[in-house]
Amino acid sequence: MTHKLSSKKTLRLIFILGCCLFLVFLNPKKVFNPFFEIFFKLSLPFQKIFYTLSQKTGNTLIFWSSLNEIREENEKLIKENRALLVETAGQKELQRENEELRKQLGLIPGKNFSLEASFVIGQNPQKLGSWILIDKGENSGITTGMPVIVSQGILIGKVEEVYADTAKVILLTDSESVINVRDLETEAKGVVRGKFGLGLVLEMVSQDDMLNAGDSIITSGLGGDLPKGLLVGKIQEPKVSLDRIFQGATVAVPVKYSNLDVVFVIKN
Amino acid sequence: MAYNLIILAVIFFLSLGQVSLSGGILAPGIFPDLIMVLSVFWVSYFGIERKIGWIVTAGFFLDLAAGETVGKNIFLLALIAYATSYFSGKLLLSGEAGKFFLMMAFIAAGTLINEILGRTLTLLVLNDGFRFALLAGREVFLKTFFNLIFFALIYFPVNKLEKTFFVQKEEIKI
Repeated sequence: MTHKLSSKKTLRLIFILGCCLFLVFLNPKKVFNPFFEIFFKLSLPFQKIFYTLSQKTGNTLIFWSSLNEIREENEKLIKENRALLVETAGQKELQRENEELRKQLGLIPGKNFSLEASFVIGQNPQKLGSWILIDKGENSGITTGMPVIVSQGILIGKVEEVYADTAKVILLTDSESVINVRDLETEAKGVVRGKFGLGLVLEMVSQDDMLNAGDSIITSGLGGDLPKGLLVGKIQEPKVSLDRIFQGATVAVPVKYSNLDVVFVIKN
Repeated sequence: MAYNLIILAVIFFLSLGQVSLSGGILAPGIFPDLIMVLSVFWVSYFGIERKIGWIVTAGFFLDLAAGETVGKNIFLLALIAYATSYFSGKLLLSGEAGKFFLMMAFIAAGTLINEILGRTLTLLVLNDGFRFALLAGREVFLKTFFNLIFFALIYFPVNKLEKTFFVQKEEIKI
């Protein structure tokens, strides 16, 4: 009797696992898109609340656990602020020079973009830095491939999948992400690749080009999928590739992906 | 009917919570597997026959909420549920405390299976080998710890909910 029961259980398990494998194979055919649409439609308001709640709780916890550090940092900042006041005098001249350089480089200032502001409502639960879900989709004119930035024009990723009111954004740090970039200071061209959700690496830079720590990396506009001049990050550590044909570098990301609240999709 | 609606709402919100609450409070890598913990609890306390339908539904909801390959989480949860059922049949313990600690052991084992198999499936489906190699001991340890905390938090409410409806049904039968 027990043997019969256990064999019945095993058969049921095999049946369920077989069905799952069948479902997995159906995924590339986009069979489940209507289910995703309905689910995201129903869950959107709750996801917004959950995500905001989680971010606020996280920030509050960080705030209370770092009160002492904040006090020390505040004193340090007051001192730095005094020093910066002196430096500000020279800033106007730098600003004028910056505008001139932007014109020469053909960069598009942030205000010229047609931006769609949207809230982050979820992210990959398995690994940080892989993808995020936003609360705008097809109904807001968003299509796949559109670049996604944060307020200061820092590129964070591209729209990968679009549903009616939500979209999945693949982040630059995802291992699937590759973009064309150049060094703002030295004009060196290369590609920035995601490093398994952990960071960014600059690759394929010719040995003749210069790479310096601290240089800004911006999108080059090559390939036409991304606009020119979006900040990607800063070079941390230049190094020569193993085959000694190219050089590369690790790139510091200026944004903390786990704390993203509002992002902007570039529509034009 | 009321029971079904409550359970449907519970798995809907837990699957959403697993996707939208991670990141802020805890890093995604160590955020508890809310649905997996609930599934192990259900199976070891109420039996697989009674709960497998709900576990498959929960896996489907989790796949949808995470925007992942549909079938992946159903596969993992069904496998963990049947493993839990098999071992809970072999290791019968009397008393509430004994059951509680046995369930904790199942959850710890379930976390490990979920991590290893989840990453293996990612390796097979997305060909992302590095993520498999990233199976960090510290991360798994913390995840297990938070899974057990979540289990302790839901133990009494879920138990109470199940017993309320179960007792009601028995009373109606009499």
